Amino acid sequence: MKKRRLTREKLTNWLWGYSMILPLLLGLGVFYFYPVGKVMRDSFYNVGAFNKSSWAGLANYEKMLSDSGMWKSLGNTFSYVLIIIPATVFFSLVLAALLNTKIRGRGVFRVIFFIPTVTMSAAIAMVWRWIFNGDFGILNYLVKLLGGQGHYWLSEQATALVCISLVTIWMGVGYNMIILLAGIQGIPSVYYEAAELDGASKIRQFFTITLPLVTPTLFFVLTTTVISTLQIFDVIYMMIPAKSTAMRYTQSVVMYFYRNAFEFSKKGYASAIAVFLFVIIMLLTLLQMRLQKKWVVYD
Amino acid sequence: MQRSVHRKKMSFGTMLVYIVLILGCFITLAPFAWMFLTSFKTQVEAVSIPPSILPRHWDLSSYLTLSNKLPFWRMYGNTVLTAIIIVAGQLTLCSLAGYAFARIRFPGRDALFVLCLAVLMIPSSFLILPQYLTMQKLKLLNTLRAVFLPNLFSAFGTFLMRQFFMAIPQELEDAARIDGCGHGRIFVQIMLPLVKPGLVSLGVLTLRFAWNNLMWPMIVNTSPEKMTLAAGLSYLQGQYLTDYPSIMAGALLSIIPLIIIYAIFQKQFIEGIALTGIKG
Amino acid sequence: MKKLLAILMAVAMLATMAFAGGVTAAADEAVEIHYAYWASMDEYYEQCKAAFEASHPGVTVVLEHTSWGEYWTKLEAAATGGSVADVFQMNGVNITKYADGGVLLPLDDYIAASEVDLANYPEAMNNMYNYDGTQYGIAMDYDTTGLWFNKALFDKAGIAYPTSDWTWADLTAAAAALTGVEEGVYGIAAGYSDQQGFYNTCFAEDGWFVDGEKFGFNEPGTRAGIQCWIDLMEAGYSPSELSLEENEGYLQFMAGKLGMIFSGDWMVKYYASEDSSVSEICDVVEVPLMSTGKRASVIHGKANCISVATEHPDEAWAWVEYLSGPEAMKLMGDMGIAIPSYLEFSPTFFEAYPQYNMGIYADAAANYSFVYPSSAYNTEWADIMWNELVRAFNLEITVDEACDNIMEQLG
Repeated sequence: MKKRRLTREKLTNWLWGYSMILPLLLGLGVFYFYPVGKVMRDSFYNVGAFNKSSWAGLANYEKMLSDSGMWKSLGNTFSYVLIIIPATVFFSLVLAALLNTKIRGRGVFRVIFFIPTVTMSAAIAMVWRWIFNGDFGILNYLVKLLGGQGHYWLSEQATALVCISLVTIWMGVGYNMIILLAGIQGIPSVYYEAAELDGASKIRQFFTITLPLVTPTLFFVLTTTVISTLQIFDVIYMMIPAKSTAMRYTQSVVMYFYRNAFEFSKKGYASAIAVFLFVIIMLLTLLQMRLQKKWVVYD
Repeated sequence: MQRSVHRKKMSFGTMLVYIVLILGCFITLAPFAWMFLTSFKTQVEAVSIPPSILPRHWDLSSYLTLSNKLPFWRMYGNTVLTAIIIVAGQLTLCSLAGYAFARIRFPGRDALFVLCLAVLMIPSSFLILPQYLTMQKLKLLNTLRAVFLPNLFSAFGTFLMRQFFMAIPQELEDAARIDGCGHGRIFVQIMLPLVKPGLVSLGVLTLRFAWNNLMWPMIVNTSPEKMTLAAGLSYLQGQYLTDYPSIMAGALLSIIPLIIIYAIFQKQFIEGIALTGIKG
Repeated sequence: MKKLLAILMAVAMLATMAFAGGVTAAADEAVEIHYAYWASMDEYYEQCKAAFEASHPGVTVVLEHTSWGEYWTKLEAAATGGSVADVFQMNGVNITKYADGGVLLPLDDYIAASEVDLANYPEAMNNMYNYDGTQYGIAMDYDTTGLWFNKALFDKAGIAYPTSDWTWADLTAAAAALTGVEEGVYGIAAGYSDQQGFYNTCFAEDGWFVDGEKFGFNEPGTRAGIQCWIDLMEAGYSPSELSLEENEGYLQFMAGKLGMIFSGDWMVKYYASEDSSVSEICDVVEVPLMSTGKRASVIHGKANCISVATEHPDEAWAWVEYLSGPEAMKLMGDMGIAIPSYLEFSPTFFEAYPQYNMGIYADAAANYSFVYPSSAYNTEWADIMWNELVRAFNLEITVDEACDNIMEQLG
């Protein structure tokens, strides 16, 4: 009797569980899993313009190994990660810590810092292109005022990628700052009260209390920014015209995918690039999950 | 909850904080000042070299162009409508699924959840073409439904909501169960109110995404009457000369509602994230 | 809590309604022809649409404007799914790909049965949209290239204006004299530019680029036609390649920073605009003669094509026929939009800009034009060419090295 009831309860649970995730899974299935399957299939075919395809076996993957454009864009992508992640995390954390103090107008500051993340990138990109412009840009004007030498910031090999990164950081700091701020506010105030009694300075409190206890949120920010930076595309698409000397120095893997798929009509090869990047992102995410045990403090 | 020590006089430290924050504001807002000034220039002046800082004469034509050359307010309406549907849809679907993933045991649950997470790792541009073909098979091209349909389903949102539901103590659920509540009533009457901050957070994040989505509406829709703002403004881009003043004007007009909504909800939004969840 | 439930219900209903919304669209008797285009010609098309619909009762034209940046991505997606517009704009770079892909409706039968006479259009344009002996498009406009110059800068340098007898040596001498005549002024824009740059000089030097699967970058003439630009760049008579990428040549010319520039006819609309600082002091002349004693201008133009998947081929053809016909063509010229491809009406465009010597563009088309290079291999060869040649224009490698690299990659 008792056993039967348990089973029925289990069954009800199962039914509830499945029916609550069903709508989501259906949608993800149609609009994400099926397309992903299609991309994986295409990576083993030669797919040209208008989806005409023929079996290619591993040819697309083999081609990738010897394609210098592919490796260059992979290198660029990792450069973006190395520049953007530390800077974004640093600035968001500093701003979050500052905005957590009880200063006047912090509500206004929070809104202001969030504005770039809600603005259309097309309009923003144009403004930044003027700032970096090599002949008439505001940046060069300032640099020359200080006695420095002007550059074609967005076109030269040494600076183009850094400029794209700066714009990405500018757009991303506000969003991550808010999340980190929330994380900091979740820290129980007793810790700070105790530290206050011990006479610890604000800076000391930041390093001994805030920083360790915000690591779970930091982990979230790190994981999501790594994923999104590996997928960097929009800012490059908006700021670097296809016919620009700088395209070579700045194109990311997703940009390279896009150009192969839509400019050169090599969808099979593009699909192989997509699968490859997907595997890299997955490995890096798993690695982060592993490493989190070493530095994230859970209470 | 605030822990800072108040001092009547501004200390050196506080001053430093202000200096850093104001500097940050300047860097954040300076490009917007440029956008604002550009929106009053003529099309050729906006790209003329050397650039003029202040408009030669304050010209309102870019704002008029918006409503003359585009069904600007129609696009605005489309943006609002699709954004509302996407936000409402995601809140519903993600909280349902998030609850199930967090609090109900059923076979295959964890595997299905990992599958959902994998979606997060796929750049959306990889999927444009197959998604387009799907919309075409569904005969939905050039409709507003095409704009929001794929975006109702969010792996990120499910992940976020699951974290919120996980953070709710088990005792609450047990108590309700003893009172004879089933999953339906527990979900609606007990859980949803508790995750309200989470719903606000997801709502704000989704709104921001739905508002500025550029490529997808552009690809699935053709007529300006079916466009959202971000996509519609790209009509002003030419092969040789782009109508930057109007794009700036449109961009400025389009962010106003978002800033207002964010200003209203920011406190709950931050609390929402603070309460989770995001702790893994 | 009831409230939340009510909200959820409302959402569900809203979603259902949104789904149900379009399903009941009744089958109209009226035929809709969808027309996709990228060029910013909305006003012109609105007028064409009104006139066309008046003379073709029961047919409605739906104009679908897509920005240049997204047009080709979108057209290809639509063509792949078979849901492409009935009629759409095409250019010389993409025609081979679309014709080869079986996306386009062959027009020969329609042309034969109608009053359209291809002899009314430039031969080069007809050839551009003819693939394997089948006509797939009818040109709507054409573009050639001329040499624009800033008279005020020439006066200041104390040299005579360019003439139709000019050789490349004359151009080089003038560029030298113009450079530095005012602070920041250069003689000419000599950066990477195909249609408005080295394509013209290469053809004049008897060079060529692509012929089916073969490529002409080993041809001495091709290399000479590129080298002449690099010489200007090396001599410092031009802004650097990077400068010209960040601030395009036509903008620098409009700002009075360039003495000369190769420009297509469509640029006149910008040069003549009230915000151009050179509108009163510039003019245009034929491109100079090259070492062969010849000159050349590449010719390109947009065309209208019909989708093979259209359900209303007859109505689609009627719209194409209208756009290529006298009425629409005259309107295009009168509005100063582009050079109408209908030769009889080409001068109407020039008359819209009487202050400039626009007739040279028609001479170019009639006497020394070469078809814009294109291949079934499509954008990839052009991209490889760009990748290598831009390094030569940046003075990183020589033209010979760049051309060798291109040939190596094109195998």
